[in-house]
Amino acid sequence: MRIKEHPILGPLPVAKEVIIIVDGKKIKAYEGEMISTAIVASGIKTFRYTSKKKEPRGIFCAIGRCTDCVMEVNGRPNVRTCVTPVEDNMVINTQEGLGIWENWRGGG
Amino acid sequence: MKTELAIIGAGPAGLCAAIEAAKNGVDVTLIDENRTAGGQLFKQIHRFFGSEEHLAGIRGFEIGNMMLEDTQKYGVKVLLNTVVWGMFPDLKLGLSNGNMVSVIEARRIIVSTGALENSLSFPGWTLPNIMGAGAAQTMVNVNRVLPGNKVLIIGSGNVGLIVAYQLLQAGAEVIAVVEALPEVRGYQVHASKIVRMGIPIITSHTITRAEGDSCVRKAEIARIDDTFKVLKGSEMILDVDLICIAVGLRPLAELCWMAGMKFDYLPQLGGFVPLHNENMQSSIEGIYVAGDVAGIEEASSAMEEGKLAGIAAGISLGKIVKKQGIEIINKAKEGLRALRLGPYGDYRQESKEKIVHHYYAA
Amino acid sequence: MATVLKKADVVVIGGGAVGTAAAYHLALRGKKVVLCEMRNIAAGATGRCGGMVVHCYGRFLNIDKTDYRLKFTRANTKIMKEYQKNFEIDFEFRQVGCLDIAIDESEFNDLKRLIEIQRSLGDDEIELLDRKETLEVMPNLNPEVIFGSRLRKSDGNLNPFLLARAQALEAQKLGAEIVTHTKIEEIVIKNNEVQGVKISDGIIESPYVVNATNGWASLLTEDIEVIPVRELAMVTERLPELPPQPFEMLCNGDFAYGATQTVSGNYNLGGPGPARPPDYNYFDETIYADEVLRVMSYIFTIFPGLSEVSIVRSWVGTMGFTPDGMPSIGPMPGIKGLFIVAGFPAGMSWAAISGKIASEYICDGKTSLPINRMNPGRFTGKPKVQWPQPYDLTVCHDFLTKGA
Repeated sequence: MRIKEHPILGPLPVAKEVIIIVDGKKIKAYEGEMISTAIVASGIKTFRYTSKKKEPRGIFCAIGRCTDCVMEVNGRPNVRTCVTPVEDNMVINTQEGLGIWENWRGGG
Repeated sequence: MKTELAIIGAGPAGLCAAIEAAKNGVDVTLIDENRTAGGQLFKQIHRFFGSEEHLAGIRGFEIGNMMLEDTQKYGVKVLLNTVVWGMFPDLKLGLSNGNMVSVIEARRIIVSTGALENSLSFPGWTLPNIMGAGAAQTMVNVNRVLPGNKVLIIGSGNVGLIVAYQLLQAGAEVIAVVEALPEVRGYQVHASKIVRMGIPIITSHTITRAEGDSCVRKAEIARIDDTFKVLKGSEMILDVDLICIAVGLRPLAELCWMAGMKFDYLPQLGGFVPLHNENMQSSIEGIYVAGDVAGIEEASSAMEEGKLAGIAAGISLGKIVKKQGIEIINKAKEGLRALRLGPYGDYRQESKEKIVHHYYAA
Repeated sequence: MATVLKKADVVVIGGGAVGTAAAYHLALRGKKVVLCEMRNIAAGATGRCGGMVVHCYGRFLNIDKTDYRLKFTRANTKIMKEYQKNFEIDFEFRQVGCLDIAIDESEFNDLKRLIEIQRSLGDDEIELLDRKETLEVMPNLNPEVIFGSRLRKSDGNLNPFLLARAQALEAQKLGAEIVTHTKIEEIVIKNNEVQGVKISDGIIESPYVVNATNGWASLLTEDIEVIPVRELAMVTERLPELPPQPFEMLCNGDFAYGATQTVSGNYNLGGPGPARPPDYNYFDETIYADEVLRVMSYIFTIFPGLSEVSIVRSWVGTMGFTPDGMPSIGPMPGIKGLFIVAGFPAGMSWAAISGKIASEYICDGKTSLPINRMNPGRFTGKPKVQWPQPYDLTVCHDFLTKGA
């Protein structure tokens, strides 16, 4: 949920809208923001599933240190969504386990 | 690549160190792995305390902006999006900016890499929407999104109390702040503010488990005795969709370990703290430490320690005249003493004295 | 008079894969064993290596040495398979094969000759692969750099921490005592007979001492010429499962650089760093920037995809080598009760059998495999090894033109 009006920070700054595609669905995002911001704003909480027990994971530290928020971005797995900015037409998928090696090379 | 003074981490300590040194003609390279400088300052939307000198009354992010302007003014070379992946005992640093890996040689280094949030494990702790309190703060104050609406905060230190208030400001319902010890840990002024807003602080309680599916849905809290044992029958289930863990910070000192710095274990300052003397010089000659990495305190002390380290490095490089430098250092030391007074500061003063003592004894 | 702290049938010095193997096999034979380790179990080379199991490590053209090697490493694998059936801890031993890579025609010809020798000894597990075949086995390698390779399907990898812990645990179950953070100051010898070991608090009395301290062995026992060699290793973030073959290569006749994927998905990489000055401290476990970059650049030439992943940690370890590349396993000549078992390249392929041999010698006075080639006293009286550069391998390995 986006905080449209904040008592200290004021209104949301104006920014250019972009579209990202999350698990096949088109989601509105703003240029310059991190992927995780757009994901959380759209109400999604689960970013990936672990490789052994297939458990859901989401944001934990939000500053790029814990790697809990990783997703597949433009094919490339293990991308930290909390420190990666959105781009128009970016394709983002919920990551299953560690992804596939072929997607690690050259993608994203 | 060569530089006179490399500073790792562009938070309040690093920024102040860079400004003080650059003001005096030192060639400074300030490195940060984030896309913007400022460290934790940009999440702080509350007004700072202390004296006018300590920028009291100004909000954290405003202080951050002021310091960034100063780095430009004094010609500090700022490398953002740059990870320091290695710090070596011959004062070399390994850098990576995602495209290129390089090594920079410095004559002096200041490590001001800050701190890391501790976590707490309990059954269900890996569920989505169970995050660090700092994480919630980042989402709300920097990213302007609210991850959940019904919040439980674990830990009543300053971070827990402040984040509770800031989540309220952002429009969430904060169900409670839970604290394991029998008394509130943070400043009374913060505690009173949130209690006035209707957020109970439940002491002598802990979280025993969390339940949910794609997101946390429920939390169970229970009373504990003074041996931290759960008292059966005291369990309460709360409906929540966001749990923030605020159980303390510890120095982010991996680079220091790697380079072979000596440490001491001081729980009062967050755990393993690199040894340093009164001028922030670590056990490796030419490498200084400043800010939370040298012991968890707050932004104001980070700024003073940064200043201290910047001047000390400048003097040792021969760029700052000793007499004038020492004047500034003494002022910074006075400032630190002032920040470490009173019931919330005593234990930090004591611990810092211990570290300096061990530095000389080692 | 030093205090006698305790008495044992055998004191094993060194808590790595070899020391814990010796403790286990001795305890299995009913001996009262005390194992003393200066730091922690697997704190030395065992805990710093890649865990590769390579039956015939190195490019030796010496038939005799190759024969020894195969005999011992095969016996070693047999013991490890028994461990897998009986031990409580699973040490992730997987025989996934190992590729020894040739990066040009001359190296490829070396491999050809090596394989001829091995086959002449009845080795039917070794295969020579050309570029295409190599890339079929491991598609992620760089076709521009691979000329061909040698593949042994029975090679593989294991988790060295767990191997040492598994052996230690089983030894303890059989009554062995394992004492960590206990440094041996000296092996006490009177009238050429072992009396025990001296530690800071006193003496542990014992008629037998096993020196299994590898890189540190020459510090406790003079004249055995076990040379400490410093190597660098690093580990990547967890990756999806790739062909798990360890691979290794010599670069420009230099030391072997290698990489292997662990069960958890992380890739271990390693190799030596650049040469250091003659007075360099081989036990220094600090890392230097240029070493990291050098190891990385070699490995990434062979496996370019690894340059896209994050390296999580790097470290340095001290291995032990001998001037002729054969380990030293056997009683120390002239001293009753001192058994040396040190100097292992590819230690994971030798640890279990070496421990067993030690127990056989101490309990029965004879061993199930011949050890005369590995006599620890074979360097005594010979001119000391001039070690001008840490990685001057012509001293350490047989190369094509030099022979034994």
